[in-house]
Amino acid sequence: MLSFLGRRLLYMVPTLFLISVVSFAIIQLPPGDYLTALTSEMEAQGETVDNVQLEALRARYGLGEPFHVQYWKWISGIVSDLDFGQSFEWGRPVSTLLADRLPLTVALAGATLLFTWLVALPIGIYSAVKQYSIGDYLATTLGLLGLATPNFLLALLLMWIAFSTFGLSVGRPNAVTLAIAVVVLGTAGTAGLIRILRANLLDELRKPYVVAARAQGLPERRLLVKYPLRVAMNPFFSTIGWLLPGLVGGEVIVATVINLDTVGPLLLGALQSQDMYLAGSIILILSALTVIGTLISDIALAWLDPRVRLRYR
Amino acid sequence: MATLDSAGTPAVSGVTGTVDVTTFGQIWKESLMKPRERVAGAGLEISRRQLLQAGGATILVTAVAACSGGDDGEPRGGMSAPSDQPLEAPMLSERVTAGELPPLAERLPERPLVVEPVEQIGVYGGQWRTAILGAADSAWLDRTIGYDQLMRWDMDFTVPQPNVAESVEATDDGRRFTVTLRAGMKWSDGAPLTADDVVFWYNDVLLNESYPTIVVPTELTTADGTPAVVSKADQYTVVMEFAAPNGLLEQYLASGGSFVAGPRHYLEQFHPTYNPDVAQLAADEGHADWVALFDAKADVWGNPERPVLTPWVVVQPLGDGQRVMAERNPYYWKVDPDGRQLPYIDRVVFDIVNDEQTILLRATNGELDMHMRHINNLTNKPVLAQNRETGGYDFHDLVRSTMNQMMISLNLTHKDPALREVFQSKDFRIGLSHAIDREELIAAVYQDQGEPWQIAPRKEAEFYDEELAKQYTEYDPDEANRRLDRAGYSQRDGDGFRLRPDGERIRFSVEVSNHEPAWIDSLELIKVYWAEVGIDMRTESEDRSLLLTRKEANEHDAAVWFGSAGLKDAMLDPRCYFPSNNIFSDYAIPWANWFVGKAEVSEEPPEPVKEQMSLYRDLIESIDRDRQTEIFREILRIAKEEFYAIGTVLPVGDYCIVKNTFKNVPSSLIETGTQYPSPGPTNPEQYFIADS
Repeated sequence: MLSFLGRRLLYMVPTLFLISVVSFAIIQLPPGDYLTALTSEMEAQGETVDNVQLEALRARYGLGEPFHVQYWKWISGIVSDLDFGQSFEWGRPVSTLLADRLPLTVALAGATLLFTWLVALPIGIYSAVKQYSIGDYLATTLGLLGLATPNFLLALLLMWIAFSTFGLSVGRPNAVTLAIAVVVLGTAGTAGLIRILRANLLDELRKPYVVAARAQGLPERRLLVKYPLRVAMNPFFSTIGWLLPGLVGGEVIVATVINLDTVGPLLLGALQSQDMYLAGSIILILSALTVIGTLISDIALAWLDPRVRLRYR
Repeated sequence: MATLDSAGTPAVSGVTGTVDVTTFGQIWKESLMKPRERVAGAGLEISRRQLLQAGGATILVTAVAACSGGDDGEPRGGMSAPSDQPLEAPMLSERVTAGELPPLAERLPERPLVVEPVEQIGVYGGQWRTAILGAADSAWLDRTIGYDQLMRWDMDFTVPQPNVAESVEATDDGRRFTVTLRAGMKWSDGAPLTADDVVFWYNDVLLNESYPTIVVPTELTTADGTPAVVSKADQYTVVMEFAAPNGLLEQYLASGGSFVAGPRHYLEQFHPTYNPDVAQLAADEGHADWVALFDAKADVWGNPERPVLTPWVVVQPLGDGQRVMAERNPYYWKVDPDGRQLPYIDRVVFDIVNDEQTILLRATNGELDMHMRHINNLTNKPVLAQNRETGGYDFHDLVRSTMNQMMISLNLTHKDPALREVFQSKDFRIGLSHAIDREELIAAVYQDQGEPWQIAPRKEAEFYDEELAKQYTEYDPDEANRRLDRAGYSQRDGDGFRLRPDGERIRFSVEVSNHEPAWIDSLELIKVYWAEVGIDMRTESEDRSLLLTRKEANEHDAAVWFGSAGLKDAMLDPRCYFPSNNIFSDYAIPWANWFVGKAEVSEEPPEPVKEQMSLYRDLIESIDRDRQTEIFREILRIAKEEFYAIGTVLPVGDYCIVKNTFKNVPSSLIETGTQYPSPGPTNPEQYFIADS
C-alpha cells in the first residue's frame, strides 16, 4: 500500500508540470490578449478607449513578452510563494478572488453529491431489482429526461416558476436559489449514476455467487446489500475524483444563469476577457484537484475493494 | 436576521414570503467584513420609514447648524429653505448630532452648485437598486455614480457647464485656460479640494512615465503630442497651457472619465516622490511595486478609503462579494433650489449579475429601479412591456447617439491591389448600397424599428444633413446594376458573378463579430441582395478580439460594426466620417494610422482625406463654437462626396426602464457612451424615491 501511494505521489509531479504548461499555452492561444478583449468589449458597449493608454498598459502587464518569459513569471510566483498573480479585470490577487468563492463552490459540490447519492442509490437499486417493472421504466424515463435536458434551461425554468408562481426572490444567494442549483446540477449526475448502478447491479445479480447465496437461504435483502451492491458501488467512489472539477465545469452555465458566486462564472469571465493569470490559475488548480481527487478515489477503491488492493502487492 | 438583500425594500411582486436564509457564503463573507462595512450593512436594516421618522427629530439640529454658519460667518447664498424641510439627510444629521460630522454649513462649499430638479423637489432616503453584468461592467458605475468631471454636459448635450470647476475661462488665442475650483469644496473625507489636487494628479500621475496606468489623454496634448502644462495659480485656481489652441478642451472636460483631480492628501503616501519608503509599503501590502500599490489605492470602485467628489461613496467595493454598494457622500457639494444637500437617495446598490437573462428577470420582477443597459434592446421590449404593470415600472425614451445599426466598411486600403481597386471605386460602393433592401432588413431583423440610413449624423444632431443620411439608400437593383457596370465590372462568369478586369471573380468576405446576432442575420440577407447583382460576398463570423486583431493588421476584406457618434459626440470622435481612429475606422485603418502618427501599417491617404484631416486640425484649434460647427459641416460634406462606408438602418425606439416610484428621471434621455455617459448628465443626485 505504501509503495502504491509513494509511486502515485511521484507521478503527480511531472503531470502537474505538464498541466501547467498546457493550461498556460491554451489560454494564450486565442488571438489578441486581455487588452484587445477589453477594447472590443468597451467599444461594443459604446465606450471609447484611448490608444496611448492601451500601449502603456500593454507594456505594464508585459503582454508583449514572449511565452516563456510570461510563463516563468507566473509559475515561479506559484512555486516560490503560492502567488498566482493578479487578475487584470478585477485588479486583485487571484488567490483572494478564489478564496472568496471556494466556500460556496465546495458547499455546492458537497450538497450536489449528497443529493445525487441520496436519489440515485435507492432508485438505482430499485430499478435493478425490479427490472422491467413499471417503476423501472418510470425511473429510466425520468433519468434520461434529466440527462437530456440542458441544465441552464432547467435552471431558468425553475427560476421562472419560483418567481412567477411562488413570488420568491431568485438570482441572489438565498436558500431558494441554492436549492434550485442543487436540484439542477444533481439531476444530470443522478441520471448517469442510476444507469451505471442499475447496469452494474444487474451484472452482479446474475453471477453464480449470488445464486449460491440465495440457494443457501440468505434473506434477499441482506444478500443484496452485503455482496452485489458493494461491488456495484465502485463507480460511486471512483467518480469522487472528478467531482470538484466536474462540478466547476458543469456549473459554469448554471451558476451564471442563476447568478451564484462560485468559481465557474469566474472562470468563464476570465476566459472571455482573456484575463490570463486568473484563467490559467483556475485551470491549473482544477487540474491539480483532479489529480488529487483521482488519487483519493484510487485509495478509497483500494481500501474498499481487495481486488484493486491486492493487484499492487 | 434579515439579509442585506431585501431589508427596507417592500416585496414588489405583492406576494410575501421572500425566503431570506443567511447562506454559508454570506456568513463567511460577513465574518471577513471590516468593522466599518459591517456598520454599513447593518444600516440597511433601518427601513426608510424609520429614517423619515428620525428625520423629524433632526430638523432642529440642522436648522441650528445652518444658522451658525461656516468659519467665515457669512450667510450662504440660496440657502433659505422652508423651515419644515431638513437641509440634509436624516442619516447625516444623526451623525452630526453624534459629533461624527461637522454641521452641514461647514461641509458645503461657499457657493454650492444648485441643481434644478427635473420634475420636483425630492425627499431624502431609500436605495436605488440596479445591477451590473459581471465585474467588467464597471462602466455602469462610472455612468450612474461616477460622473463628476471638471465640467458637465447640460441635459440636452449642447454646451458644457461648470461642475467641479466653478468656471473655465479661455484666453482669446485658445492656448491658456484658467480653471477656478469652488472655494471650500471638500473631498468625501472632509479634506479640502484645492489646486494642489489637480496639479498633483496631472504632474505626478498622468505625466509620470513610470506610472503607466493613466497617461495624458490625447485631448490634453497638441497634434504633435506635446502635453499641456498644468500649474497652480493660487489655492483654487489652476492654469492649463497648450502649445497650440485647444478648441475642444471644454467638450473634453465635460466628457465621462476626463481629467479631474486626485486626492493628494490621501494618495501622496503611495507615491515615491512624496514617500521614499513606498517600496517597503508596497511589499508590506503584498504588491509587486509602487505602481500596483498606487493602482489599488487610487481605484475608485475597489478602494472604499479613496476620497471622491461624487454623490455616493463606495462602501462595499467591487470584487468584495456579489454587490457593490455606495452610500451618500456627506460632503457632496450640490444642493437643490431650496438649499437642501443632494443626493436625495441614501444608497445605490449594484448587484453583480453574470447573465443578461437574470437581469431581465429582475427587471420584470420590479427589482431594478432604473436601468438602461444590456437588457433594454428591441428583442426584450415585448417582454418588458408585458410586465410593466406587475413590475411597477414604465419606459422612458432613450436617444442613443449610435446612428447606424450596422456600418459595412469595405477595406479601401486592402493589401491586395486588385481588391483595393474594386473597393475604391465609388460607383461600386454606390451600386452595393442600392442593392440592399433596407425596408426588408428593418422588418426582418429590427422588429420594424428604424429607418434606412447612411453613415450620417442623426436627425437630433446639429450637423444633421438629410442628403448625407439618405443618399443611395433606396432599393433599386437596376440602378445597382448600372452602377456596377459603370464601375467597369460588366463581365460575368458562368454563375452570373461579376469579374474583375484580370478575369477573377469579385469575391470577398465580410468579417462580423459573433457577439451581435442581428449583424449576422442582416448579412445573410445582404449576401442574397448582392448575389442578385452579381457580387459574391460571404460572411465570416468570429470572436470580436480576433476581428480587432485582424483589423489592426489590415487583414480584413470588409468588416461591420455599429455606426457610432451620431450626435454632438461626432466632433470628438469623427471615426465614421473620416479615418481618424486606427482601430475602428474599419474602411481605412492605414490612413487612420497615418493621421494619428503611428508608423506600422500606415499609409498616406489621398487628397480629399488629407483635406478632412487638416480641416479637423483647424476645428480643434478653433475656440469659437460656431466656427467649429461650420468646419465640421465641411468635413461631413467631403464625407458625403467620398462615401467611405455603407450604412443600413438608423436605430430608433430605444428605451430605458424606470420604476413608477423612482422620480426625476427625464422622460427622454440621451446616451452616447463615454462622452455623455448617461444617466450621469441627467443628475442622478436629484433622483428620488417617492412613497408609492
